[in-house]
Amino acid sequence: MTGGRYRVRVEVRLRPAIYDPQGEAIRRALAGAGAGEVLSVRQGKSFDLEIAADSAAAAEERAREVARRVLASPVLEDFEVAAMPGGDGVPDRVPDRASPDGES
Amino acid sequence: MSSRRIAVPVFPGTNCEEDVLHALRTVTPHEAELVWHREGSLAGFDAAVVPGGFAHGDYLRAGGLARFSPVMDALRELAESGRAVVGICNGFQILQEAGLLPGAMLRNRSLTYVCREVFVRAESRESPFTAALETGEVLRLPVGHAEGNFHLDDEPLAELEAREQVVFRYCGPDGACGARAPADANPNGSRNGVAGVRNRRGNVAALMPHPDRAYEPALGGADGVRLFESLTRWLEA
Repeated sequence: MTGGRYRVRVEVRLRPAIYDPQGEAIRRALAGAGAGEVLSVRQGKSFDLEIAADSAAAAEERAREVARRVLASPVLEDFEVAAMPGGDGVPDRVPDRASPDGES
Repeated sequence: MSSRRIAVPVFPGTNCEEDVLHALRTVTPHEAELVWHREGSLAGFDAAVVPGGFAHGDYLRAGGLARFSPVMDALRELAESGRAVVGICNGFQILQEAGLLPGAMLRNRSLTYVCREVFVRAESRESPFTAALETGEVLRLPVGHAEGNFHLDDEPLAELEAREQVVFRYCGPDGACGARAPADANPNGSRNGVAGVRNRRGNVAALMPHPDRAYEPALGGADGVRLFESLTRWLEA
């Protein structure tokens, strides 16, 4: 195909209004470890995607769709999408992965 | 009683399918069969029970990847045709992630995997898992989960309650809910103590506790039989 590979990072986090038990447990642990100045912790997930696209903007748009449909829970989470360095669209910059495991 | 065919979908990581199968064969008059998740059709089945476990390793989110298995399209068709689709534990999370049931599960408020008995109160008879229950009936059932903390935002939660889509609520042994219940009655922090819900139409329902681990006295309790009786009642209606 034409175009190239672009790197895009998707950050997924619980929406601010939702209590994050993991983040709160980490905050308490930090306070116990002498880092009481850390007032809050929100734990999230980070996904680094390599996307075949014609432009960085198209890759980001595709990442946004994928985040909306799959990576983030529409009930619980927000997400942010950002192009990553190295995503200059040069084909084959990243070696091809072996195909995923055979179907289970 | 006439016999119906019930599908028990199995995903990689499902681990309660034999319990569900055995429960269905022991306490209902129906035929029950395991169906691998790559199967794209449930033609000929009258109902499905989605069992617990860790479908696709619970990667991404609990139940989050199961919706891409072909059997989910078949389950959706079954649900759209008005047949009964019920879920237990991970089966609940799978049905939520597939958009067949409302809400989503957060990590338990305690952060621990909760494995113990709880009490739940039947809140509505309008579902395949509650059709034979009395509203207000209290059941003692085991739970085993790390992500059972039911969440919906205020407005959709109020709607859920108004439409009587909450079918089970965590309670004390006497059926007391909310502030009147013992502090540990709600095992995971679920909003409004929600333990089980149904869809608007009333043919899809699920709960976090395991009726498939409480269907004969040797298991420590048999209250789960009431849910399977409900399924039978619903299938014969």
